[in-house]
Amino acid sequence: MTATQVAEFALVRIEWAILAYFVFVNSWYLVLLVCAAGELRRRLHDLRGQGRRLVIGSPLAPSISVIAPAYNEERTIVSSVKALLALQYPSLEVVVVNDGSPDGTMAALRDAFALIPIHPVFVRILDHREIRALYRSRTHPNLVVAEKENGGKADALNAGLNIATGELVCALDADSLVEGDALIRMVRPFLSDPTVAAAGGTVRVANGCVVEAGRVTVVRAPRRALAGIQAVEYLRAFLFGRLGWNALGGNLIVSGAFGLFRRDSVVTAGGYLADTVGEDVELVARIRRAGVESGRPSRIVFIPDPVAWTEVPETFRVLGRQRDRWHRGLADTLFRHASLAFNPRFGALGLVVYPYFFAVELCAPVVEAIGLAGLAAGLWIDAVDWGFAALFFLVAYGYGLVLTVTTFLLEELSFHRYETARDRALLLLWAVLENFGYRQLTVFWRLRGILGFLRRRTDWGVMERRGFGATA
Amino acid sequence: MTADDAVRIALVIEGTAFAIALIAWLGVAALGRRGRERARRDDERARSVLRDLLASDSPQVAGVTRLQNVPREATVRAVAEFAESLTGERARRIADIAATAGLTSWARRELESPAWWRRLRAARFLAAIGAAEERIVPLLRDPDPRVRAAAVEWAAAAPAPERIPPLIGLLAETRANDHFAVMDAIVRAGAAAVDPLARWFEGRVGAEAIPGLRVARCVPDARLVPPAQRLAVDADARVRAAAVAVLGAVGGAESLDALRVAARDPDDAVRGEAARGFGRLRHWPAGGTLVSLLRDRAWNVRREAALALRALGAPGEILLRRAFNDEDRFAADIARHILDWPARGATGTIRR
Repeated sequence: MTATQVAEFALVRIEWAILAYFVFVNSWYLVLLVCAAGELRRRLHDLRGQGRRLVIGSPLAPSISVIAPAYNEERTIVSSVKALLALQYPSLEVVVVNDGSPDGTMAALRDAFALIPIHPVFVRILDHREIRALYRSRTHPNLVVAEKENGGKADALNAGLNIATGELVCALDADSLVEGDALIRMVRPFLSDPTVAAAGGTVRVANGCVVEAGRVTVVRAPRRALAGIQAVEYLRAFLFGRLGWNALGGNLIVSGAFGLFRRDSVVTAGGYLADTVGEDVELVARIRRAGVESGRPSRIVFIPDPVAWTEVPETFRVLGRQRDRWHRGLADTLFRHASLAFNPRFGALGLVVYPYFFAVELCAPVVEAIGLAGLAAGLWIDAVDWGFAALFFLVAYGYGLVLTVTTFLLEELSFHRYETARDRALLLLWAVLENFGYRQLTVFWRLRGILGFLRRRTDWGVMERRGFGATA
Repeated sequence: MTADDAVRIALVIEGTAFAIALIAWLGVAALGRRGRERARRDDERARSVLRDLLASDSPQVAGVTRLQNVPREATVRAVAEFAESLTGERARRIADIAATAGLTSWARRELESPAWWRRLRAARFLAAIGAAEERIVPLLRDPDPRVRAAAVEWAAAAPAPERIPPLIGLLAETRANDHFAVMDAIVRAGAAAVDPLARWFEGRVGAEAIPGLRVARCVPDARLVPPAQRLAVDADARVRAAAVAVLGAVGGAESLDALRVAARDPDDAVRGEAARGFGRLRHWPAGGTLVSLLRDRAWNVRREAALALRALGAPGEILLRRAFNDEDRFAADIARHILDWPARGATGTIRR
């Protein structure tokens, strides 16, 4: 047997193994999709004729503290906080944590909300960098602003958790645009099920939309390819990924951009970890784990109808950093909680959720990279012919396209936010285009994330935002 | 079968699935848009007919016929929408119109449906119009929690005296999925719920009394003081805290005595509730007790005591100012913190 023949033999075996992996992953996706469709149907029936006054007018509704960490948000902070203060909820507190921004964030807040300094006293259950000053607003009695030394998002969230007085806490990015009735929708699982520890809502892409006074007023599909492809990704991730997990053992992720938690569950679990870049995933894993170990509430649910809009990166450099960080965070969380794997004590979390996130979410870029490299090598040594390679590529990525279009169908059957034919055409275009270059780039970024995790990198990188005024 | 064949077959299957999904998506988008347009027009028609019917002295046959000509989906939506925002005579008129137009009998039939979402819709509709429809009562024990919650809402929307006890009976159900709906419904029933609630407490001890105590706090009434007093010395601290919250909401000499005892409770949640109760009742003679609670070792007690002092008005503020120089640093800190709050008497909009 010559070296070429050996290589050819190995390559064919690898390609078959990778095809088997593809079948496995895509079968999971199919199961998730079917579960998501069922969940969505139930949710839509439940929403029909549901009176929201039930929560609004009830003295029994739990109080909510919205915690918004802000770092260099000078341009958007005032409109964001105004929008948060205008959220419909009967018992709402807004805690803004200025995480040592060197820009004019604090001055903008002071001027806009007539902040006056108060003696900085709070209960220090969770550790965080020093709070330099605490303010309350003369014009908005439910607004509290903390000015602290820079310590990162997790540190700022922990400070917010110490200051917050609500029974539930809503963690979000200061620049997230939360829809007015989102909290009323989001609180429902906590009212109906005492075992719920956290609920996640849908995050959608605001790039391209018209934003007025901190609210998305006209929904449009992004016109730029990079933002458009991410809009498709977000739709897929939230509408079938997270929703499907409701029926399959619960989610492991509540987006850092928009999630509602029982405050005592977060505090008991120890708050956000500052030494990880995936603090949101890690916290959810810890809450679920602590829940099983101590018998406290630990169900994590995803609800599709409360929506927060976020601005996604529009440059490859920033997007690459973001995806690298997300993957490092996931790897870090999965390795920190490795004892969950196949542990029957943790039920679906140990037997289904953890193995899925490890085998599919974490390892997918490794397998995909091996597949792509194998295909290239096969073509190089003539072990694979070009026609077969093209067909293989089409099969591998075509399935993703089918799932994406089915997600569009679910969106159309449920929330139909994208109303014009042009928006739909754009979404379809981005769904097709993501397979040519973008997916391969995300493989690279995620691989870089895994390498970064192995090298114990913990940097965040800088997120550059255009600002909502410029995205319309 | 060669690898090539397998990939080709997969591709054909994928291509077919893609075409079906694409056609379905675009089809639903086109039809959905038209459907939504039509639904909007139907809603407007139904609202217009309802407005006319409400404006006239009595429901006219012609008007009801016009309403029946509008698709039922739209009529149901419009009637429920009107009913939610009307009270008194007009709300009764809406219920009459719904009955005359056959919507109530439609909902009655739907209550028997094996599909939970149809039962849910019917129960919600009947709750919205406050229909006296006894066929909903069995839905209080429906297998689906959403339907149970809708039935509970109905019971609260039409609080006949005989419906309150079964509603209160649900508080003890361990199947907790509709606890909020049940508690909220009893709170909405208001004074009518007080006597049955007081009876419900008879013989109850421990954690099973907590849902009732949470409700009792929102319908403060002197008749609830005896059970609350009894439960304020329960072995379970959570029960004591909930009972003290009731006493702090109701007030009266007996409650105040119990609050004074609770202020010395070994559990900080109970002491915190006692402080909150004094503030809620604006009971200025408790100023001394509250000042001593400012020095409590538990943060929540210190905070509640400071907020209560502030709620007392001028006498409380004087005590808070004096606490600036308290030898206990924590008492001085919390006093300064709460007095620094901008709005006089404000406790934030976090409900207290």
